[in-house]
Amino acid sequence: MLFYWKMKDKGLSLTEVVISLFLLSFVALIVLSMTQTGFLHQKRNQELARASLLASKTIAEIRIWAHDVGNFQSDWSTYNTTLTYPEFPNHKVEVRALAAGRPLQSPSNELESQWEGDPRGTRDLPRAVVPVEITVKWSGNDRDTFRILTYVAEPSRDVTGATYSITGPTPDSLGMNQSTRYAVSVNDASGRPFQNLLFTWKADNRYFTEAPDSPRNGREFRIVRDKIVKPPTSPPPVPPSVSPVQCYANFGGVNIPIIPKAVRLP
Amino acid sequence: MIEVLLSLILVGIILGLVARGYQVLNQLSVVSYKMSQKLELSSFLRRLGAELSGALTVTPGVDQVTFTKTDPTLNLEHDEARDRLPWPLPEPPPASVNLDALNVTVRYFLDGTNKEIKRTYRGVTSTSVANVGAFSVTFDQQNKLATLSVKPDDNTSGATTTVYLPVVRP
Repeated sequence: MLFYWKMKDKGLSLTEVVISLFLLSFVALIVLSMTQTGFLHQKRNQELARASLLASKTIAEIRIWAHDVGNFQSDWSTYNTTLTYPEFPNHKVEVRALAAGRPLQSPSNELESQWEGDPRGTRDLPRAVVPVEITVKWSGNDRDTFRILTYVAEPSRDVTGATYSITGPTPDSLGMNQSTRYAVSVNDASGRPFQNLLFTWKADNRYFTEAPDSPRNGREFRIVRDKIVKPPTSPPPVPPSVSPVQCYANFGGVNIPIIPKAVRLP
Repeated sequence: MIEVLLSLILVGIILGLVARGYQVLNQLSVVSYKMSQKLELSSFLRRLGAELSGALTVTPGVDQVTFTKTDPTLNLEHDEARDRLPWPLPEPPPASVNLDALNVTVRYFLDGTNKEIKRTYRGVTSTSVANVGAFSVTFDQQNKLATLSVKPDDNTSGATTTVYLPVVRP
């Protein structure tokens, strides 16, 4: 109370005012600094949001482009480049696509994992998806970067007019305990290969056994003649009237008729 | 007398600084508000894009878009098995998915009076984003790409993106 009455008539000295000003300025600087930091973070968030929208836009354009089979099977040089958009003048989009693609296992990795290490292998779709990495940059600073990785799947294919090509049997004449092999591929009506097609083969088990290293993807089929054909005694012996090997392929619920050549059994 | 003069000068400087600081903070506040608005619009475009990418059919319009999609609450409401809803949906969608009973219609439109984009779903209209000046959804010739754009109510630059519509028939 005494201090109050003493101060009541004195006011503040210049030194006290200067110190007060210094303290107030210090506090003001801190507040301004915090405001500026918040502002910069907000600006960065805005740039990130814009970059995210731009990345989505680029992905959408790539997906519609890859919807064409010819584009999907190309070397992707159209999109392995840096893109700019007039509506995003400060942003650059770097696209990196691995045109060789990545395999997927059919029907699923979980079910196919039991075949890993087996000579017959897993049923792989060798170029099922193409990985695409999109990097959006909006300044020279490496920190100002938005990156996203996505996979573009093979578009649905039209099997109308599909043609197949079979090589084999090689050799075409098979003695006892000898093996032969077939290889098969299918192209669409425009001659573009069905890279991710799987084939199912059946061998007539009266004459052959499927070789233990015959691949499960069916693009190749190996058989061993390990059965002795016993011709019927009555009526008189006749050669087999059915094709000893059959091959099946199905794409999108549509069967592709494939007729393998027969094997001669001397 | 000198002290008074100095005090006045100091008070003047303080007032000047305070006024300038207030002005700067006010400008920052306006800029910050616009940034928040753009962030909100960007967020809205992300949500709309995600919803639109699963559309079965789309109907463009002026300042609006209407589309059908498979009812996301189907499993809960109809006790359907999960595998009744394949994803990604094959193209064209099988009849079991394309049944009208399984589809719902969603409409986004610009309410120019209130400057809001509203969403109508199952007869209920709700506000998706406010302070909007322009809203447009355009489609390419095959209806496979949708370009979404929104602008804030002061019609400065807004946000735009493009969405791929894998299931919509050309």
